[in-house]
Amino acid sequence: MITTTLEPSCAPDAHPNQLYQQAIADYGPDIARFVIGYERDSDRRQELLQEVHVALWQSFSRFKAQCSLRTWVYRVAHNVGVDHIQRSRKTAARDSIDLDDAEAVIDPNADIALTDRRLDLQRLLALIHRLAPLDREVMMLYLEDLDAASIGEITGISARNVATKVHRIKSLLANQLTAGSKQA
Amino acid sequence: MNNDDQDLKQLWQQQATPTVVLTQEALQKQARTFQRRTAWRNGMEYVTGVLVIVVFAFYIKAFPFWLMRLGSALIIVGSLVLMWQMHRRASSQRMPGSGADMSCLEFHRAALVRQRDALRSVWLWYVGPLVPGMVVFRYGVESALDPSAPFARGWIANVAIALVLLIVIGINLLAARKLQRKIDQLDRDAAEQA
Repeated sequence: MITTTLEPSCAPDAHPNQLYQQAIADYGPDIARFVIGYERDSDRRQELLQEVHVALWQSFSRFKAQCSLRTWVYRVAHNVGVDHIQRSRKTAARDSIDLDDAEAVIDPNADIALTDRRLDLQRLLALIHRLAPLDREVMMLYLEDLDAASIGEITGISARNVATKVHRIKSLLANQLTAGSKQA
Repeated sequence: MNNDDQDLKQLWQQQATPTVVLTQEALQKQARTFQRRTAWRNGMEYVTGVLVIVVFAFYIKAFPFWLMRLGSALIIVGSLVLMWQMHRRASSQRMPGSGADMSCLEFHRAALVRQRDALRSVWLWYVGPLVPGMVVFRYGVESALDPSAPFARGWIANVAIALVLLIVIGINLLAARKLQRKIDQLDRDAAEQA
């Protein structure tokens, strides 16, 4: 069991609305980025974002300081994301690939015309959207600059496996970047 | 590599993001909207059941032979059992917001296990309740048939129905096996936990 120190304002007896307001103030942009990682379509993204907000708001009535506010917020966001994928699982099953397949998909020599950052971001998102839910979570948390221990706490993956996955994800991302710099 | 990593992290963190500002009233309203949508989505799954009940209720009135009427009544009871099972299973789903005390892996695994178990036991809760009614109804149809009708006629229909049911069970078992592979992968990811 991983224990964390809570910020004073995240005390378990804080009002759910206060906790929600603080969560949005501190982690609103992070949540929005996770939503981008779970949904390609911009209209559906907006809807999914609202769904995450509602789930988060409802969740705080059960918040008993079992973990840090950040861990709680990230878990809710990812759980809603996974639920969203499973609801449209026919599409997700066709599109999701594991890390082995993702490594095969990345071709450093491909897409020679892609040079600017907007297209780099599109390529990054394309990779994220193709990953299986857990790999997707690890990748997004890694891009949020969380360390392996924090990723392990949020996802429930062993520290060793987080390190392995992060290493493979870094290689994937490096290949993406190499492809980008070759084109520049 | 580190510069590349930082560049990608910056790329990710500096992207334009959708924004939403919800007041407490808006959150309550949105929560009710989502609940209604879920209820509607679950309700649509009962449409087939309702249609079956309507058709076999008509049969009870239309067919003179008592075995066919009894079979129709049993199929209606079976459909009600099936709809209750669907309702029970939909109600037992854990909402994402209530799973934050679990890690993402545990939440994801629990959802997969629930789906796998539902698929594995389709023979019992989905096909099973309809079988007694089908058997009695078919027996009634065979008994009421003109004795001069070809012997194979009824058996072809029986075998065709049995095949459809077996295919339904088989497809669900295959889907359950696929989910089991995903569960095994999650278990491997969780292994060696400190």
